[in-house]
Amino acid sequence: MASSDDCLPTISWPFAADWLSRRRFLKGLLASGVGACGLSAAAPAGAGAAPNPGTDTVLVVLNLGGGNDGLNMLVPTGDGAYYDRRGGLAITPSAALDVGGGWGLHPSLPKLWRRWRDAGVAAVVGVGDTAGALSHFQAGTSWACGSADGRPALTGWLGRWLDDQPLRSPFEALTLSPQVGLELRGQHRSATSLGVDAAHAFLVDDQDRGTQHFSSAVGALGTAPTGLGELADAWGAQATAYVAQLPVVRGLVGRPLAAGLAGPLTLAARIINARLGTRVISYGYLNAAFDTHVDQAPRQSALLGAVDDAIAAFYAALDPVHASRVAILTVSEFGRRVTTNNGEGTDHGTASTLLLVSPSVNPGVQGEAPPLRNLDSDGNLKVTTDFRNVYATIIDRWLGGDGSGVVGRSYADLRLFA
Amino acid sequence: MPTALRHVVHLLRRSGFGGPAGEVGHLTGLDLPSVVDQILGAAAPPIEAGPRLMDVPYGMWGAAMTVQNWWIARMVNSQSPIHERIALFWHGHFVSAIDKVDDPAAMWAQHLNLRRYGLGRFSDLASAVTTDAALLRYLDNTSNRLDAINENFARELLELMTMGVGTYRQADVVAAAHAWTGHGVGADGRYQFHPDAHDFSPFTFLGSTRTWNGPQILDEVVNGAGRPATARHVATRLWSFLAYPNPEPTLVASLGAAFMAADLDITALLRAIFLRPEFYSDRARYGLLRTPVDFVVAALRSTGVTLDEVHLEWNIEKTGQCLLLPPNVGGWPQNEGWISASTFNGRAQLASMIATLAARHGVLADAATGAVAGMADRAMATFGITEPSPVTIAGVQAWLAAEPPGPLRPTRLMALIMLTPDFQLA
Repeated sequence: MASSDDCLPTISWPFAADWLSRRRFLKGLLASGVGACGLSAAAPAGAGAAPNPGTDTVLVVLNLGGGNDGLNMLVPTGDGAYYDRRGGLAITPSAALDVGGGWGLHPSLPKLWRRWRDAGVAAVVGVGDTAGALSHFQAGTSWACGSADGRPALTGWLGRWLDDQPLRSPFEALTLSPQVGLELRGQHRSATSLGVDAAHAFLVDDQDRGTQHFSSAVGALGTAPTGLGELADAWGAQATAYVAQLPVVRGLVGRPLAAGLAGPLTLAARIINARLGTRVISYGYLNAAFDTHVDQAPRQSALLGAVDDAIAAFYAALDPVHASRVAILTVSEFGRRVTTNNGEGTDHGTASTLLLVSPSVNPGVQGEAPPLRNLDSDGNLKVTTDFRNVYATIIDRWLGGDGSGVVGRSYADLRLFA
Repeated sequence: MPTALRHVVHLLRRSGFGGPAGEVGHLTGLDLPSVVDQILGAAAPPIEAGPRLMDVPYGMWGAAMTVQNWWIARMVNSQSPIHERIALFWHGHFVSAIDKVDDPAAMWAQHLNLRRYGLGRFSDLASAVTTDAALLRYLDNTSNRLDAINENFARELLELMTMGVGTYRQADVVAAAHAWTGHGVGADGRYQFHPDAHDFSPFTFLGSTRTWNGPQILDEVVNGAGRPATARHVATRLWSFLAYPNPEPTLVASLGAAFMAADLDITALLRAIFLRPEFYSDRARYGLLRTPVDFVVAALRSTGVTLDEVHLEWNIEKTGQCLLLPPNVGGWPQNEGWISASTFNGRAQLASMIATLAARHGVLADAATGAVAGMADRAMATFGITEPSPVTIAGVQAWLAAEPPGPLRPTRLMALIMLTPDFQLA
């Protein structure tokens, strides 16, 4: 249940009239921050289509970096081949949290299990890169880019989706990680980063006239091209955006957040509650933590336990009125090798399982499980659903947009949403 | 022919760390090859006393901060900053992170290797760091055994540290992983080869079928069939670190050839890089943002504030970069990776603190009294900005004109300059 503390009043966004002309020189890297922000003025003409901050769908993307072992997250408890190959790392049928159909969740996901039984979880099995590499960086870049037409990885799938959206709010796409990842960078637009302590800078004290004057000077650094190239312009735009966004950010993070993954997901819920026009929120959970070459059993238990707690914390903070318009998607650059490397860990693999959490999903196990007795020449699962197909479905059926245009190929609807 | 001042300034910033505009005068009378020779010929600074790593509080974090502060102090004070700059490059190339290595002594030993061989032969450097505890632990080779192959070390060695992705096949990774079995760490925490855990059976690696041991794989990659790819890959990484990312293929081919011709001598590669006209192009001049560490070092060199005063252990984490704690085996991001509200916030806090300390030391003290002719230009020059953006200088002048005299005026002036786009350019 959401506490009233996590619900902020509706805020409408004013935009400077020269927004679009400024936007050109900024190359869109940080365009979303330009323009003076206030909390009460009405939106002037030229601000794009009016947002529907109370009804638009929202996608929360949680990146389980390092290569999450889908086989141990959603366990094929009915498949003897899994037990033959996984040995001591296998999750026994009695330990797994049964979801029927020969599947069970990892025992560290009890709260997600309850949500599953309430028809609030879809798990898409066999998802990977059909032209996949086993390198973290190649695969991670491929997943972030999300294009099927071989274009250079200069933009990301959510960035290209954002490119196509009318400019409505500086908070339309957000990352809660310190850096804006490739997946959120488009050709013209890019996400805004809201680190969880972004409001604690010295610029915030707006009671002091000298500080206010200083903040204005910092905010003016990005109001015209510097003549020093795109990077310098992008920095200036960031300075301007930072100063403009401070009042709102302070309202969001001014109250304490839990440590670990629950903190950013609680913040995500507050952002949705605040109706800022946010459509996409992304967070990368620890660097490569899921790269469980060694000590997999205790590490995966702890990691999935944190995911379980964080999703619960998200729904605890989220005003229930928004629940049906929010979906959480987990991604990871690849799954792991079917056979353990030494009984204690697993090497880089291919296909894995994605979770899509929302009351609006088509619940249960989706997609086609790759056969565990028919692996590729490296001993890996054969991908049955290309990850770009998942992206295209999410854009077409959830965010709204041109899925095939974003990923550069037409795919069938995976029927992930109810 | 004397070298243009702006080229000398650019070269010193990229080969070192930048600083006040007055430091470059003695080099401008020389031609470019002589300037480059002076920079590359600077003697490696001795390590009289390393950081004290015994009984450091706060575990691995404390040890990382201890080494970091020691290292950054050297960057600030060095008379031969090329050695610090290149050690920093190798730290982001042969990546290890102290939280996973879990042994300050091993991280320190690796750091010394990065210094000892950093401007020497690449084969010596690669050989030293791959038969050393830190990298083997960081990439799980300590659990790569005959009965339990772990590919992590072998893959990253080929992909990131030597040949580069796309120049070998998955079967080569598997062969390399088998070859590196048994290369781990002994009870004393140092590198040790365990023959009983090693796979002595033959494998095919880069087309050659025979029995392979780990160091022989490295030799094949650096001196044998993999050498052209390794030369190009390392040249690309070093160029990207010093000039701009994604260099043109013709440039990569040329640098790779120069590196090969010099038997992979790193100083020769650096000389080739510093003598390329592209290194002085606008693409290069505007092609790199300062990393947080660069930002701190430039700020301290410009103001004379000392490392002991700024307490980076409390203040650098929010900028997104802590030495000895790289985010992953790929090292730190570049450029756009440092532009976000969070990292802006981190730099703003540091700028505020450094400006406060600098004002206390009397830097730009006359800014407190109000209108002073040329103050904006002089203040920019104090921070090494000799060709400011017209937008920036106009903004600083406008702020100065409206800011009443007072003790906070120098502080705010310096904080503002440290947040300008101009100061973020490397």
